[in-house]
Amino acid sequence: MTRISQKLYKIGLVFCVLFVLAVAGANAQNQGDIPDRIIVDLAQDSINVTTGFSGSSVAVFGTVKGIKKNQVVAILLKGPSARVVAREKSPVFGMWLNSDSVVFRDIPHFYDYALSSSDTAAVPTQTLIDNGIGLDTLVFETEDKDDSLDKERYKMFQEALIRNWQQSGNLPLGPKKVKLLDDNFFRADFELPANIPTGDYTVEAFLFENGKLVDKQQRLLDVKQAGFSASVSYYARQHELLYALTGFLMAVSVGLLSAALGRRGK
Amino acid sequence: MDIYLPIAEMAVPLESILCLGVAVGLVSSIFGVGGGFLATPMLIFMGIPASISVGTQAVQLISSSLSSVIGHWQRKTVDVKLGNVMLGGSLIGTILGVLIFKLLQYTGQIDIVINALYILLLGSIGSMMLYESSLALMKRSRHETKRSRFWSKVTHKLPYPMTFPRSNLCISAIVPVTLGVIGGLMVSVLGIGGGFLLVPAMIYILGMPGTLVVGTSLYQILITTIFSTVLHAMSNSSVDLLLAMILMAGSVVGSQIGIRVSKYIKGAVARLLLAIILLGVCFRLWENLFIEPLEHFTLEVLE
Repeated sequence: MTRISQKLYKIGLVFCVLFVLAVAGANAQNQGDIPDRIIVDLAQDSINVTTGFSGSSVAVFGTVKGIKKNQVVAILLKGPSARVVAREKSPVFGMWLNSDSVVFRDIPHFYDYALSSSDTAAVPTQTLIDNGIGLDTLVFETEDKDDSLDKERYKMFQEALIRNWQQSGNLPLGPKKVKLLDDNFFRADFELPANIPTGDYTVEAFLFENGKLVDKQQRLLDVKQAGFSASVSYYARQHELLYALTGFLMAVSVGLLSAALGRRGK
Repeated sequence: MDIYLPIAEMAVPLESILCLGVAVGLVSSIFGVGGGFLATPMLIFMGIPASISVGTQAVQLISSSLSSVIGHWQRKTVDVKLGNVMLGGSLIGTILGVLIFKLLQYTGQIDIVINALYILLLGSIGSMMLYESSLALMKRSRHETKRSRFWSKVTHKLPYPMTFPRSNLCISAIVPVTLGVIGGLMVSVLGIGGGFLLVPAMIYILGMPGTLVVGTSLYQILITTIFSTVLHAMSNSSVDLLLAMILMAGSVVGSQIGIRVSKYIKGAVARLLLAIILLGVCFRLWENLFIEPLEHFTLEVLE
């Protein structure tokens, strides 16, 4: 090896070391103000709607390393969207008949949320709205082409929808509470009513700091019919004739049983 | 205890469905009517969609009419030929009914139309029965079972005469077919067998002998409800077999009690009681339609 090449090799080595050090240094500096992260998970990934189903609770657990005073955790649970028609009853010759109706598109069939602090200084209402949190963020898009109803009337139908679904537990009356278990861990509990639809539910977790979104994470919750209930609904929709035949045979056997018992009774 | 219905996709209290089944069984075995007029509106009151109430009730009607048809078949009190001619009409009526049902569902008026039709039907039949049975009780006179002169004149001129040797009748085929259409409509739109309308109609309009009327109408109802069940299940999967099973279980128990009780309730007294029940249900439905509801808005989730 010549002298010159040896020198070049040494210089190259020095540069390499310097580069590695620089990268490491930059990393170390980054680690210092890495933003806080939010991590959540569900106690159950899926909910089975069986014959005995009468609603279910959903527990969301999560962690933020060292939750600070200026940080707020928000959890959002949202069900599949539905087309909903709201009908108004009005009297016609003394009879209360359905008159006007409005069809709303893409309304979440279930919606609930929880906040770790209801202090509006910690999270301004606008920040919540920007992130789709709260009943005010639901978009009431109608399907009707003609604008025969004015805005005030639409508002009445909207309010009626919210009022009806708040009563049945599909929409919240207000935010639930995210419970801080200690400086790192939190949990939020939701209640799904018995009439909820099956499908994919999303759980979204938000971390706000000084009123600004810092991190968010999403999880899926699978709500599905299971067991006997699932097979009944499967056969009813996929094998209609077989289903009808089963119903027929069931009715015939009950009828025969009833007739046989009746003869003994006489 | 709540039970989740897989087709209706909702939870209902098990006890009240069972009680409803028992009531249906009691009424049907004491009075010889299907009991659909009791079950269908009650299911709708519980919040079960009208389509599922009607579709499911058809299954229950199969079982209740079958157990009575067996008895009539053994006693040979069924005019099969007349029944079959009526069935021709009732199959048309059932298809027509399912179509009407879908149309009403689409326009969002189904619950109200069903409500109004029940009020009309139960109110008129109930008050007629009340009048007749109280008259019979007071005078202790025999109930007349003769064909009315008016109807024999009207039906005399119609074409396609047919003879029904079992009933000793010669009448235009149009008359029993029309009755069948009405029967089919009642099964597929209202979820009732319609025996309480068909039986008097067959006596007064067709002039059938009283001994054959009940068996023949039940035979017709049995086949119609089977057809209606298949049609409802195939066209809009509106048959909830779990709900049907609970209703039928209740009605088996109810009918066993009813058979033992019916020995003590007979004739005009039975008709008077039935009239009171019919009018009671009618009044309950009347309230629903004529009294201002607390909540003026209703919601329905579309598919």
